[in-house]
Amino acid sequence: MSKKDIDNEILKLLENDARISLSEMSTMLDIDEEEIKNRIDRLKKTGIIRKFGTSINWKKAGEHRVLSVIQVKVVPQQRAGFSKICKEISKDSRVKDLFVATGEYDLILLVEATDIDEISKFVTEKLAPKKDIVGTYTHIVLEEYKRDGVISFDDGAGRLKISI
Amino acid sequence: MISNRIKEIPFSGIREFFELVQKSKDVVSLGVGEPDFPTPEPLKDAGIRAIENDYTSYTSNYGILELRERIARKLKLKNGIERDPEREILITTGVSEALDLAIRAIINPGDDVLIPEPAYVSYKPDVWFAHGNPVPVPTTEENKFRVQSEDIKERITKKTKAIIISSPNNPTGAVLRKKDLEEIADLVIDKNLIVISDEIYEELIYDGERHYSIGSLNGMEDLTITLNGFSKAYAFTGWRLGYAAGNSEIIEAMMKIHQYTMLCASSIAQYAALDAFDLREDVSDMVRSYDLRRKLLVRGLNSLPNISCIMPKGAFYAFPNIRESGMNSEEFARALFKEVGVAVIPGNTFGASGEGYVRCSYSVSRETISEALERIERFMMSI
Repeated sequence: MSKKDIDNEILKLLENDARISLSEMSTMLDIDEEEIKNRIDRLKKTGIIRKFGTSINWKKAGEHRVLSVIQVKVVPQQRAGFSKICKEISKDSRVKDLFVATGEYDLILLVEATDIDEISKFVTEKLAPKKDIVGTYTHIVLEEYKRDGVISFDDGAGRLKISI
Repeated sequence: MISNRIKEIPFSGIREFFELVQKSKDVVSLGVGEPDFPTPEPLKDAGIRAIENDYTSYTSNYGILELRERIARKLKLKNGIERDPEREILITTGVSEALDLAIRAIINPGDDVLIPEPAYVSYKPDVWFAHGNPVPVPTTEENKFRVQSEDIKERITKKTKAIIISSPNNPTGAVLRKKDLEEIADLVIDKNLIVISDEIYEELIYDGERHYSIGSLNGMEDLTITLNGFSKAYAFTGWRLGYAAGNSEIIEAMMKIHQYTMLCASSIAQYAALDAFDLREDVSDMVRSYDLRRKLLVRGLNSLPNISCIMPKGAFYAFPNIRESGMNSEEFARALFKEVGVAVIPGNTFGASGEGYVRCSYSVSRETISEALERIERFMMSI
């Protein structure tokens, strides 16, 4: 297996569950724990691993949060293109994801806030005043069926507990 | 009300235990015998398209020709078996049906059928249904559960008609090597027997082992019925699709039963499976994922007191030896479930030579394996 392949094996295991232990990974991949630890440190340092986080269903936890998808139309600036405005918006802690995309709008933002008012403030006070932004289109998320690759419902599909 | 024949066939005593596990809410189950992946998206989509486009009628009794042609090509390229898709391949409702047809097509009342054990639970009853006489050939942990040709030879009599082999094996994970198969083939040719070769776990094989088909060996062409299907490699269990390949005489005889009992395999499943053999990457990703979990489970079991487990080379089962616990297989499985809520399958379910072992599936998530290992450890410390 090449170096990159081993890294990717480690990444796949971590992508599935960041809490997997070094000893479990060592057992599964036939690599000693020390080496796995070093590889993970390097993957973190080089930004290949963005962060170790946890996907949480806040609604179930009883905490109210509002998610919105906001499309933004931008006038590209000479030299800087979209980059300058994207960096500016990214700094706002309410922005969870920011993509430059094809289509009628140029940017797609995932914005998480405590309530609708805060989303409204974000659009009217953060985005609207920027002269490069010529239009926004805000979608308030009503229901979540799948988040971070995890489905949030139980439809009874599944295997028998015992099959020979 | 019930026929004498069926009354004579015993119900497995472990059934009520399985029902209990099935109903329980909080169980960590290593008792599953199917993939833990969903059917790959292209096959799901193809199945939906088949329904939308009205490919929902009966098909040829043999199955749709296009699928038989693709199976023939796969058998040639991967298994070294040349079969005419027109008359030498029969598409069935899972390998289970193919197995029943194969046995009924060749067995006369009183014929002996050799079954290396531990073995899949259907082999013996299917022989009984055909009024044949199943003859277990025990395999041992010392020989990695690979059947030894001398043990087969010893049991061959004038009444012996066939032998059912399965590699990779459920429940032991044993993979027969080319040499094993050549020795079996020599006996089969010498005594003019027939081999029914169940190769459903063919794709799930590890540690650089290779799958060989006994039907590809010299002189075995007409003496082998090769059974395979889509369930394990393509996470296709509920679709029920398998196939048999052999010489036209045998396949025609199997088709005769099939046309009056099943008529044809599900048309939807057949159309859905057409592109299955192109999914090489999905299959190798699944195999790699099983491989990692195999190591986690087997090495984890070996770190526990009074359990030892050889490294299985195929399928998705570990078959640990639990004799040191002082319990037999069933006692162990029942106590393990009762005390710590972990479900495993007692080894004697698969034949007498499975006594002293339990089957643990690693077709479960990494988290499930770790949780099960913790609980089994607690159990082993408490006894």
